Amino acid sequence: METKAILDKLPHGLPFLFIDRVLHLDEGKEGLALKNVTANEPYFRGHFPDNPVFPGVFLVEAMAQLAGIVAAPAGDKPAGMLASVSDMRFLKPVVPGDQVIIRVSLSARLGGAVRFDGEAMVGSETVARGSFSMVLTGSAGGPDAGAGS
Amino acid sequence: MSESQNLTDRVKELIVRQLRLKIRPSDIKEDAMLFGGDMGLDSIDALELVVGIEKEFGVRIADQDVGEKVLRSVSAISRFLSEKGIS
Repeated sequence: METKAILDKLPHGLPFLFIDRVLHLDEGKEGLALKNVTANEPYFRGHFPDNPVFPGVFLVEAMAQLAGIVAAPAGDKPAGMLASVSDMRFLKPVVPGDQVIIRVSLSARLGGAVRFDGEAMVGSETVARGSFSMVLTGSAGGPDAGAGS
Repeated sequence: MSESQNLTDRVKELIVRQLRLKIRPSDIKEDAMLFGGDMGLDSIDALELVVGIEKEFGVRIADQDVGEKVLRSVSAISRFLSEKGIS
């Protein structure tokens, strides 16, 4: 899946797309995507001056965007909101020139809430990993759906 | 301590640990409504509990209707686990 198809699939727009290509997609289960990090990206002016580091939260965002595509029913445009991030570790700085491989796998689903394990790698090294959950606002569950409500 | 009491205590410990609650397991009443009531947990907590129950007891809750019934209270979770042969 290339950039245009990703933009068609996600509610996001440029410049807030953090996956360039979806390499593998098993809907409802897992996905693999890549993000090419270039020196041109505007946030490097401030993060940090003279020391560009790809923000760790954008790695989480990249995982969440891929997860949105994985979790959405086929043919549906996902509208998910990140709801929690747990045990996320940032193990190595990502810098211009790196190609980040993002992998997410669904670990639980209950109604409109989904939980994923995510990992970001550069080459053979893991640069970030952790878990996060999202609420699919377009689905039957809704953001306020409690298990007992 | 009876087996069912032991299971109830394990469930309470799991809830506190998995949801990182700032209370003691013994503070949770067995019949207290976990969601939308006494405890004030939300749908993401429910998801975390599903993950925790699978990890701790090897029992999967895949269906929302089952989840709504099972995650109602500590006693409901314990009863569900007993029915699945967990003691």
